[in-house]
Amino acid sequence: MAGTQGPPDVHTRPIPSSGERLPIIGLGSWITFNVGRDVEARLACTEVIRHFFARGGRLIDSSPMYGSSQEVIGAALRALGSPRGVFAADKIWSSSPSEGPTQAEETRRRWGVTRLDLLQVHNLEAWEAHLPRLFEMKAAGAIRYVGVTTSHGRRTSETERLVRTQPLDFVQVTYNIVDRELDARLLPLARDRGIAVIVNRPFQEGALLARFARRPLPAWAREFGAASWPQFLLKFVVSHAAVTCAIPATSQPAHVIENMDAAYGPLPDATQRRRMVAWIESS
Amino acid sequence: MTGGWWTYAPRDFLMFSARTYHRLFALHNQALWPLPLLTHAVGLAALAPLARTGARVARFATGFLAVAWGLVAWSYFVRDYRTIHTFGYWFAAAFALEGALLAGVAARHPARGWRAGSIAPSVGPWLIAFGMLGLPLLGPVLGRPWWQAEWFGSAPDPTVTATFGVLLVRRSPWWLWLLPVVWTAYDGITLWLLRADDALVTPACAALALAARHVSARSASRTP
Ligand SMILES: NC(=O)c1ccc[n+]([C@@H]2O[C@H](COP(=O)([O-])OP(=O)(O)OC[C@H]3O[C@@H](n4cnc5c(N)ncnc54)[C@H](OP(=O)(O)O)[C@@H]3O)[C@@H](O)[C@H]2O)c1
Repeated sequence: MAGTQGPPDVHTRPIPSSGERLPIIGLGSWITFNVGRDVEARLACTEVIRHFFARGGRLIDSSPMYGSSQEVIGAALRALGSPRGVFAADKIWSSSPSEGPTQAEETRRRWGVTRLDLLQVHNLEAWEAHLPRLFEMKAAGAIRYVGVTTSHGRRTSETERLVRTQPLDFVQVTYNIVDRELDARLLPLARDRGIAVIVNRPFQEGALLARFARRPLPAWAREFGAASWPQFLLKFVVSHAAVTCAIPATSQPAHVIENMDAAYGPLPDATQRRRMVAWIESS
Repeated sequence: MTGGWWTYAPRDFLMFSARTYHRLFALHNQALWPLPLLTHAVGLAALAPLARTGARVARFATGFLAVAWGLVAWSYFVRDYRTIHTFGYWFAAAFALEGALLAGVAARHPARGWRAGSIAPSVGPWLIAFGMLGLPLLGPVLGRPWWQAEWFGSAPDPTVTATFGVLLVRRSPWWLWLLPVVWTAYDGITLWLLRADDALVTPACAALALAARHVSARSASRTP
C-alpha cells in the first residue's frame, strides 16, 4: 500500500526506519467508526474517509478492540475503490501468544487490503510473545512496520524500556497540550532511537475541545495558520520534532476537513509552542 | 486482555458513542417490529395481576420472565449489541443464564410470600409498573425519538427493572438477584459515560429493590 497521494503541500514526516513519508495528520477510529450495521452511520464514516484522502490523509489507525471499526473501514475503502495511498495501521490485542497471527489475518481480511502496513501491540498487551512474531512477519514481508501502543499515563516506563531495547519502527502514545509528560523523556528518546511516533488522543477524547469551545481563539493563533481550536491543538502536537503524526478520530466529515487543514500551512515554532502552553495553563 | 488491567479506567471500556447506542434501539425495533410491542403487551398482561394477587401468581410471572430474558439475550445482545460491543456474546450468555435460572425457579420452587406488613410486595408492583410503563416513555420524554424506545422483552432495561419487581413480590433466592444487579451497575456506568440524563434511573431502581428486600428480610428474620 505504499505510494503517497494527495495534495503535494501537505506536511509530511519521514518514518525514520525507512524514510517513507507520512502526512502529519492521520485518522483514529476508536468509538467514532464503531457503528455496527447502521447503514446511515456507515455512509457517514465513508464520507469521513473520503474527505480524509481528498485532503491528503493516509494513515488510518484501528484495533480488534474497536468493535465493528475495522469492518466499517474495510467497507469504506471498498466503496471508495480501494484508494492506493492508504496506510493501514492496526494492532494485535490479545493476551494469548498463539492468537497473534490469526488475529492479524482476520484484521487484514476485514480491511480488505493485500497487507497491513503497520501492526502494533495494543497497550503492550503480552508484548513479550507478540513482538517476536511481528518481527518475523515483517521479515517475511507480511507487514511493513512493527510498533507498540499505549495511552495516557499507562505503563510509561515499560514503553520507554521497549523504545530503548526493541527494534521498533513505531511507538504510539498519548500527547496533547495538557498531557505533556512525555516531553521529558519518551519523545526525545524515540527521536534519538529513530522510532516514528504516532500521537493518540490529541483532543483528550474531545474533552479539550469541550473545555475551550466557548473561549475565543487567541488572535496570534493565525500566525501559525490555526483558524479553530481543533487546529490549534493539532498544530501544537504535530509541531513537536519527535512526532510523526497525530491521529484524531471523528465521525463527522466537516471535522475531518477541519483537522486535515492543520496539516497545511505554517506550524508553530518553539517560541510559539511555549506561548501556546502558557496561554492554556493560564486559562 | 489481562496484563495491567488496573491501569484501565471505566472510560477505556466505552466502545460506542451515545448516538450509536440510542440508534441501536431504533434499528432493533425497526428490524423486529412488531415483536417488541408484542412482547411488551404480553408482558403487561402477564405481570399486571401480580399487583393484586401477589405471590400466588408469581410462578407464572417468573416463567414468563424467563422467556423475556431469553428473548433479550437473543434479539438484543446476539442480534444487535454484539455488533458494537466486543463482549456482546458474554452479555447474551449472562442474560440466557438468568433466563434459565428463572425458569428453574418457576418450575421447581413454589412461590414464597413475605410476612404480612413487609414492604417488598408493595414496592414490587411499582417497579414492575415503572419498568413497563415508565421506562419506555423515558427516552421520548428526554427528547429522544419514540422509535428508539426500549420495550419489555426485547430491550434489557425495562426487562431488568420489571424483574426486580417480580423478585420482590415473590420472595426470591439471592442468586436470582445477582445478574440483574450487575447489569444495572454496568448499564448505569455506561450511560453515565455517555452523559445520558437517565444514567442513574436503573441503578436507582436496583437500589430501591435491594433496600426493600433487605428491610423485608430483616423484619422476617425478627419474627418469633
Ligand atoms: N492504546 C491505544 O492504542 C490507543 C488509545 C487511545 C486512542 N487510540 C487511537 O487514537 C485515536 C484518537 O484518540 P481518541 O479517539 O481517543 O480521542 P481524540 O482524537 O482526542 O478525540 C476524539 C473526539 O474528538 C472529536 N473531534 C474530532 N475532531 C473534531 C473537530 N474538528 N471538532 C470538534 N470535535 C472533534 C470527535 O467527535 P466527532 O465525532 O463529533 O468529531 C471525538 O469525540 C483513537 O481513535 C484510536 O485510533 C489508541
